[in-house]
This record gives sequence, C-alpha cells and structure tokens, in this order.
Amino acid sequence: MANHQTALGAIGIAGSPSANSRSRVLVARVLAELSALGVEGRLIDLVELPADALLARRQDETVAEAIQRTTRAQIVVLGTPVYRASYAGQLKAFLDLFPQDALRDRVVGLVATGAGPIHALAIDHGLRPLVASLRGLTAARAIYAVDAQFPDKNNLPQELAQQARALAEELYALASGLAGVDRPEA
Amino acid sequence: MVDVITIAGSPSANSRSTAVLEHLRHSLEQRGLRTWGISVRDLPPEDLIYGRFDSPEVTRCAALLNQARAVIVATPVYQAAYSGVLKTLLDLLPQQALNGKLVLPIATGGSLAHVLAIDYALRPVLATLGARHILQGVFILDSHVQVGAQATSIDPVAMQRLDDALRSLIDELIGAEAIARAG
Repeated sequence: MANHQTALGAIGIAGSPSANSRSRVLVARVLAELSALGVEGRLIDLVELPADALLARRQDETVAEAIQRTTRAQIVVLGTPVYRASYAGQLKAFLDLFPQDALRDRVVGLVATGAGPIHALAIDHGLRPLVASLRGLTAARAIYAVDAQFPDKNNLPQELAQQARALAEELYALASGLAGVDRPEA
Repeated sequence: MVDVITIAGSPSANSRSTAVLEHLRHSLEQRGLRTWGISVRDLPPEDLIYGRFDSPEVTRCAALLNQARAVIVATPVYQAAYSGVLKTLLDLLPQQALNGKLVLPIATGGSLAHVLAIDYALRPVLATLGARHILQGVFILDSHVQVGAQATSIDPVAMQRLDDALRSLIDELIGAEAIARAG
C-alpha cells in the first residue's frame, strides 16, 4: 500500500467558452468522485480568467495563481469541447503559459465532448500529445461524450457517471503510486 | 479582392513566426499579388476567449478569408503544436472556412525536434477546415530568424526554403486560375 506523506489534491480545468458546458459538468463529476476518495479538488473555469492575460497580452495574478494551483496538484482533469477536431483554443492558450515540464509527476485525466463520434480521436491524437509535451502522465481511460448521449446538462446519464467514477479511481491509483514511490533524484 | 490572406498565430510582440510571415507577404506583394494580413494579436481578446464568432472583427476576418484563394498560416510551436491563441481564432471561423483554398503552413521553433508539429498538429486542423490543398509546410528554427527593429534577418538556407514554398504556392494559384478560366 502506498504511504504518501502529503494528501493528494486535484485541479479540474474547464476549457469551454460556454458557461455551463457538458465538458465542465463531466470534469466536475470526476472531481466529485475524487472527493469521495479523499482527494480535495477545485474546478477552474478558464472563461473566468482575464481574457487578455490568457492570450498572453499581459501578466495577471489570477492566471499565475491558476497555473500554480494546477502544477501543484497531483491530479489534473482537463475538460474541453472538440473544436475543429482538436482541443479548444482556450485550453491550449492556458497550457501554453505553463513552464517546460510543468506536469512532470502529475497524473492527468482527459475529458472531451463532441457533436458526434467522428471526433473521438481528438483525445488520443490531440490531448494526449499535449499532456505528454508537458511531461504529464495521462490515465489510460479517457471520457469522450457525444452531445446526443447527454441531452440534459443537469442530468448526467448513468453510463457517463460510471465512466467518471472509473476515471477517478484510475487517477487516484496512479497518483497514489507516484506519491508512494521513492524516486531517485532526477 | 484579395489573393492571399496571411494569418499570424503568435501571441508575442516580437514574434519570429510573424516576422517570417510578413516577409512572405511582402514577397507576394512584390510579385503582384494582393494580400491581407490577419494577426491574432490584433483581435479583441474577449472575442477569442468567449467564443464570439459573430463579433464585427471575427466576421470581418471570415469575410476576408472567404475572398482569398490562398492562405498562409504561421505559428510558433508551443507544447508540440500550434499556439492556443491561433486555435481560438480557427475555432471561430466557419466550419469550412478554408474550403477550396490553397494553404501553406509555417512554423517556427526552438529545435528540429519540433518539426513534426506541422504535420501532426497543424495540418489536421487545417484539413478539418476544408482546405483544398495543404502544401508542404516550412519549419524555421528560431536561431535562423532575427527580428530587428527595422528589419528581419533570415538565414539564407531558410530563406531559400521559404522562397521555394512561395513559388509552389504561386504556381498552384496560377494553375488553378487557368483551369478555372478554361472550364
């Protein structure tokens, strides 16, 4: 059994420009499942951050703080709608502000929503490489939800709720493992 | 009426990719083509972050793009892909914004390890936007571009590759026009 010194923390990033997006609902659900496992989580809505700072036109404390919280969390859950067969520009703009290797030793869960099934590969071809470029470890499981699966944003279908729980459990297991192992100095 | 639109995708002030793009635009103008430059830096941040596809600025970009026969897109490589800022604009353009158009992708980056960012990341997005033909991209090393106050200096070998790419673009434009006239 892993014996971690510090409690695990999680940050969820909602990358959608829509206020109450499906991807946000899913990220929040994964955080809720993590909370049930004893992981304290917090959701960051990118659209609540100053737009000009997100676009790197000026420095801003709230953006800097959001970056810090994310890179300090052991678990990060990224949520995005699929636009143009890839992650939303908002999410990418945020991650572009991160220092090199910012997600090293972090475990990342991927959540994406799309209009139809044809964009499912946006996760493996788009999101995974993005996390890899920051040296993060992605959970093998990811959630791709099609709008038709999830017609009422206030009512998460059982199937997606189960996927959220399974992802949370995998993230917890991976993060616990990383926290519990004595790593040699890099 | 515009022949070629250039889209500068860098968020930074003294961007190498933007400077390279400006060089290309200038070359095209010198060869008699009508060009127009769009830069993500000039667009209202709220439009880009809040998804305002119907804002005056974004609809103006979309209208200009609609007229153009060719588009050159330039981006720095960030996290092994195009810049997020560029993506926010691409996300707001009509779904088939590049339909029927010739596209030349350009990227700048710190090392050759990033070269594949064009084909793995940028090209698929351009294809999704309906581009008729996406030319072979050109990757330029940061160390080969010096952005000065008055002018940009580009390494001669890199410059040659850019000129070759422009020649391909122009040849294709002329070819397509001839076919259109004959048809």
